Amino acid sequence: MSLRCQSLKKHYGSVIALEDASISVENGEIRALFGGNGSGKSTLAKAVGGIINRNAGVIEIDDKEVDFASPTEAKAGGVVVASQELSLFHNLSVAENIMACSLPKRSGFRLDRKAMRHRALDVLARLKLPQIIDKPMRDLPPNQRYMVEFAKTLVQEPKILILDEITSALYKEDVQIIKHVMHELKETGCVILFISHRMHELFDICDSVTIMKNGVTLATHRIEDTTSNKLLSQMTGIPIEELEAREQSAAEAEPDDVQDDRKALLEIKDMELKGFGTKISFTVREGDFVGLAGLQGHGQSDLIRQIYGLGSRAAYKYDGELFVATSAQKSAKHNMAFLSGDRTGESIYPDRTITENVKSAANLIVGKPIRSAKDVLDRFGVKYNGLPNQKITSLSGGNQQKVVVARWIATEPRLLLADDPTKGIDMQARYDLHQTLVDLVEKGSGVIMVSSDDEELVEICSMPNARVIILCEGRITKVLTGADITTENIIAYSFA
Amino acid sequence: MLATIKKLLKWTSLPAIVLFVLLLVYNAVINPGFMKQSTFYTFLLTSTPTLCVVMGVFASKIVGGIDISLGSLLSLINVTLAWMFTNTDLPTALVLAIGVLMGMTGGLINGISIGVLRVNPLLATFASSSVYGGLALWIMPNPGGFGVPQSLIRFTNRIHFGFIPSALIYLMIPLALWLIYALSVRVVAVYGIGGNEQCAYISGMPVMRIKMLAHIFGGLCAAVGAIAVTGLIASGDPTIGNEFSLKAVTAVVIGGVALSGGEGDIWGALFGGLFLTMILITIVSSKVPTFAQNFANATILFVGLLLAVLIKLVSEYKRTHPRKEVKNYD
Repeated sequence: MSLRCQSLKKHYGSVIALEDASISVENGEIRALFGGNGSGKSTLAKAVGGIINRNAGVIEIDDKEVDFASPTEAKAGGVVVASQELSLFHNLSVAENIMACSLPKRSGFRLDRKAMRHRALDVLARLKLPQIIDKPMRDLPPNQRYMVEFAKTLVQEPKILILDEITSALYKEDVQIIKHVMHELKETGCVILFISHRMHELFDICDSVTIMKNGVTLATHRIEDTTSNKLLSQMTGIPIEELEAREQSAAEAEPDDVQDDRKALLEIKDMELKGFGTKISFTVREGDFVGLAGLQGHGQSDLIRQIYGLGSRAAYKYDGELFVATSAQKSAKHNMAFLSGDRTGESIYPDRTITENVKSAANLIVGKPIRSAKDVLDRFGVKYNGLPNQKITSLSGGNQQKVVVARWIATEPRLLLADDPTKGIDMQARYDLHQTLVDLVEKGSGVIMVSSDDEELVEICSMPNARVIILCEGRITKVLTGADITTENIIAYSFA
Repeated sequence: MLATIKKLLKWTSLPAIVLFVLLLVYNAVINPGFMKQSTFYTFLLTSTPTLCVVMGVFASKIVGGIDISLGSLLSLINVTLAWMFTNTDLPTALVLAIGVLMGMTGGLINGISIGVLRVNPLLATFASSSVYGGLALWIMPNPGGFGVPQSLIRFTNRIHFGFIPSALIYLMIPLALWLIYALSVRVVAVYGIGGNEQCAYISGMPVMRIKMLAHIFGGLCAAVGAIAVTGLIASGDPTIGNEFSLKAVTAVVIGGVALSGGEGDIWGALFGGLFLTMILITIVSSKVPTFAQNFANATILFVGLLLAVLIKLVSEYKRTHPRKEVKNYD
């Protein structure tokens, strides 16, 4: 088996996910793909697995060109993808889940439950988890779910196996088991693409590594020819010496508890981050801007959602008093605001007018009614052609988001929580939103903003009293301030 | 042994069975004649049309949809059969075959609008329900069509070999079909689609085909129910099935089938249906005044529904909040 990709390209509208990705993996090779947010690792994996259609480029398996239109076709061609977005049925048993793509038949019709169980048990035994076979999927803890996803790909007898971040929820012991199985597959000539943000896993498991950045494959190294600092240096452009020097000084300095006489607005101490089980502590003072960075899905969203009372209970000090966040309504009434990047799902009322949308939070929840929606809309520069009573969906995405921002700023929030608020809006709207956030901070409110775009965070954190907290696997790995806030640094600290 | 009991306690059909047995015992106590074989056969026969619709609704629910048109479809087939028996000379078998075909076509129409055109199942079947019900009223504005052949009436009321009533034969047709289908490899896909349609698609399961099949099966169930009704009342009644649709949905919910799909089995649905029809008998035998009967019926139903949902919530809670692990030394 061998896999060759030549100049793959993938665009989503104007967003370029893959610019020019070329890799060549030989028989029995385990190749790591390494890169930050939006570097195109997952897109490359999906393009090879037939989950998305590429715009250009050639994929060759065993020197024969292939073009899979669907994951089912790719599976028939021996290419199987296991991804962080699991493909499991919570209502079926583990055995049924593992065998869902390859159910054994008896006399051409009947489901052969015995054979199904038997084969599932075989695979689970290889993963040292035979005891879970009859459990319903939903009873499994997260790490075992990922193991089942892995088991599901194994029974499909992959010739080209793509593992996209499935180790992120696994314990060390689990990863060792997966490593062992991967090496067994390697012996049979299977080609494996392995995506992980854990540096030590790459060095432990893989034969070679390809660095990706902005949708381009930068370089490929034999694993024994490189080091983690070399990889980071190549990806970020920070000189190796600096990275090494940093490692030594990391243990000494802890810059978080600086003396500051501004009033503390939000004090979080050892709050458990649900889903990660880690403890988080940080303080936001009046006039603070906090950017939350890291690779996607490492707890940034979960953290601010937990603060806002979405999901599980959270307790912390807010405005000097103990506050238990139990619901969004309670938090909003206490002068918090939440901006979501998921406009259609979480922000706008699509069937309602612009006026109603802008008034909803202040009038209905907080109880500080807006007199004139028009004034507010004009203040935030919403372009609505003088028709404030048309449906909000008649506006462009950027203007819709402005309406949502206006809705919350009009409530004069003390603490604004923003979850990737500029996702998918144009540059001008984005600039305007940043300006609004800066104004809010200058008036003495606190802002915590998550962004999947590191450059955006660097840009907006150029103001005083701004810092960037970087999370990895739900843990704060670094707090950057002042001139240290650079995209290179953010990426460098995003990897465990 | 202990494991079997534990499994039984977790069985989604258990609440429905318990509710049914409770009513059964109550009836046996207040009405000594109730446990006679003949009473039971009558009970089963009058329940048959409802139970057929219940099985149809069950199939649509298990794949994550719903079908509230089956009662109207049953009415439509019932009046069509009665009309054909009265106004044409077609042989009985042919008329019945046409009825079955009508049912499957009605189901196919639902299946196409839901599976292929992706209309919301509730809306799609609400719309088709109006169409089927309207057609039934057009064919036969008032109950009538008394030309139903004696052979069908006699067969419907007969008890074979002294212990197999025809009602059971009617019920066995859809039940056996379902149980056989449930043995095939498709059963994983059926439950999988109900659990997560997107995953089912990614896993290469024929989502569209299975959804259509579920609705065609529902139509078939309505047809069998319609034939039983025709033999039972020996005529056509354009509104006879109207109340079956929502009754069946209630029965299926009481039977432990998840509203979102992918969970529960046909036994629970059937016992849910039996519980529902048993309520009526209970009210009559308890000598509830005529004007209060509707109220009593609805109240028992409501309590039953609450109990079933409550039991589910409790087991759900136990599942998501397991007790701290205790070391097992056996």
